[in-house]
Amino acid sequence: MEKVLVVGGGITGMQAALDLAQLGLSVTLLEREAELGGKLKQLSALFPRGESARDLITAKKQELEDNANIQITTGAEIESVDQKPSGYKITLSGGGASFEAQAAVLATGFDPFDPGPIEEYGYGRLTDVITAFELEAQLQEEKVVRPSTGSPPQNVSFLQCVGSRDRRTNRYCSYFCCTYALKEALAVKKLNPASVVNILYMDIRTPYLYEHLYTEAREKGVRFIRSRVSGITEQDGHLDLDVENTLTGESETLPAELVVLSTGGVSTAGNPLLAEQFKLTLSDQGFFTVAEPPVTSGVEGVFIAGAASGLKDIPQCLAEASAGAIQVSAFMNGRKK
Amino acid sequence: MSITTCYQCGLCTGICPKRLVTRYSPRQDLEKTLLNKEGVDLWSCLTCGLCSQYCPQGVGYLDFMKEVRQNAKPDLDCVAHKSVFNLISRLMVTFPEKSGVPTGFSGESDPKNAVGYFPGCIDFLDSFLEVGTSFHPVGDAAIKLLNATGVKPRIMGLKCCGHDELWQGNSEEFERLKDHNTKALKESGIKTLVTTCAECTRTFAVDYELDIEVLHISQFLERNQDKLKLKGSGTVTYHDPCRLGRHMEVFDAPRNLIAQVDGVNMVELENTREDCQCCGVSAWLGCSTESKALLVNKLEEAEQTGAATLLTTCTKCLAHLNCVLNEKPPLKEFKITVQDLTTFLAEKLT
Repeated sequence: MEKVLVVGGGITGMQAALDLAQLGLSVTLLEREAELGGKLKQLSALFPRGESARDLITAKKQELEDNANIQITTGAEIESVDQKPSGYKITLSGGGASFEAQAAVLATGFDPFDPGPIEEYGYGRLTDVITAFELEAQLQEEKVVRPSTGSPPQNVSFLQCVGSRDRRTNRYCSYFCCTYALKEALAVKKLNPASVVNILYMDIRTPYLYEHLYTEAREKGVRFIRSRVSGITEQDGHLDLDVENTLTGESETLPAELVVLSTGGVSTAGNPLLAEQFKLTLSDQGFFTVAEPPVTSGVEGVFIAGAASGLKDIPQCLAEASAGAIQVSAFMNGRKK
Repeated sequence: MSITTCYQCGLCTGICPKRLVTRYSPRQDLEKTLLNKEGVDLWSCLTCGLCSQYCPQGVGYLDFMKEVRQNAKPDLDCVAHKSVFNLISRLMVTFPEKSGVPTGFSGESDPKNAVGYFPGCIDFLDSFLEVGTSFHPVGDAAIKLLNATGVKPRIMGLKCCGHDELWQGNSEEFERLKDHNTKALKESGIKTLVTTCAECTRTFAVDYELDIEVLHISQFLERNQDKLKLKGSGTVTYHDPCRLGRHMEVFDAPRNLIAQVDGVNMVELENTREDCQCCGVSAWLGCSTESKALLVNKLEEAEQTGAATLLTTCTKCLAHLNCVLNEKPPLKEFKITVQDLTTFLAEKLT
């Protein structure tokens, strides 16, 4: 029987597998980690609708497990890919099984940017400087606390474009950070209405569906300060942020009890090996290049979906998952003729 | 919309008439306010409302100004004409039994009529301003026109409406005037209050909580225009006062009445209706070289239309514009004259 390989068990891979099965195809879904869910496992409520990421994973997992046409292998990595006239022969590492697939959807997602190397933010050195992903873990438990004291902060500052739009790290915009920062800022305000919440930004980018979150954040009293923080120091149990408000031209020291770094994303470490195995090309940033948008890779039968080809939000990842499934289906029909 | 929704785009500053002649920046003052900074300029804004008209977020700059000016009380030395008009309105509440606006006008009136006419401060303007025009005829003209529609109005000897105290941030003084007037209006039993000044209209309609109808005379006359036979000649243009235009969105009534005058040709200013530029002064604040520059701009814009007369519906615009026309030595030679719509229409009654 003909088979389709899906690499990556995050939201994109899960949706692609479900759609492929829906189209009558047999699917093998590979996930490197022990559990399905990808980055969603670390998230709380999802923008724009506020649904629970955990609930979404649970629902998708159930659908996958209930579908007889989908075989899920977790803890799996690909050791080799051999192209044959009949398809790709995939061998899993660690003496794992091998099987043949006629087409593949690569949905390897992204990794969060590690802000450690940006010295001026003090991540890893200053206890109360955390990443947005770490705040998500707190929000999953419906709390916001300072790691140093375990108590709720009275003053929270979000720093935008951490690892994005910066020639020292990544020149690109990571697409989703503005929107999740607004979502998180609103969540902080809701949990602790008396707290001061600042978003320190260069530009706020909230396309289409997300603009209302920006307005809502302003209405709910989140303060926006146009600046890029030049340094953070610890002083008497709180943090001092050095900023210039570029809208007033004033330099000042802004106090904060908790600093949240709105970190962007980078391509996953596994992409180069996968690119070599499937003879695909990568962009300078390590994402898969797409020959024809949205998902066609340029290599026969291989399609790229979701953040594997560049950072995207979840609705866009879901759309590309479905697009990938349809392209695979069309490709398989073409083979039969 | 609350000012917290401000995106800091700067359109307000770009469009601000005061910015044409000063470094005033509404955008920066919003930012300072949002971040609890000092140095907000309370007195430069003309409260003309042009910025809010175009703000992409719909930030209510007028409400913002009204709020930040509350109890801010400018130094009375900053108020034009030695703040005499503040003194007059304060006397009215200090001696409430003995004072109010004068009510001696020609024409037929009826103290029991459900339609009241409030002349506002016009007689006081005559007493203290020398600007080459007189204001008392606005009241006479109003009653003549109302009579022509078959109405013998009750002449309302209220206190000053309080517009200037309100926008100068003299909140207590405003509230006292408002209390007196609200009580007097209730006791009078009138159902409709007609005024000839756009400032009075805005103040009674928006800043008071009255359960009667408040109309500028142009609105009242427009409703009864079939009863008015008007005839004249020449070309006129019309200046929308901030208070009647953008504040109250009354744009058509004055134009419909001008169109009713047989033989008179109406031409529009280049910036008209919602885009009309403020005359340059409000609430007697900042009568200065800068405001005179704006007044000169307005008169130049009016002359460029080819009209012989610039009409308006606000007694204060009438005062400020005539003041510049009457400046000695002249700031510029103007041929145009500035007239109140009410007196213009009364002259055209046949």
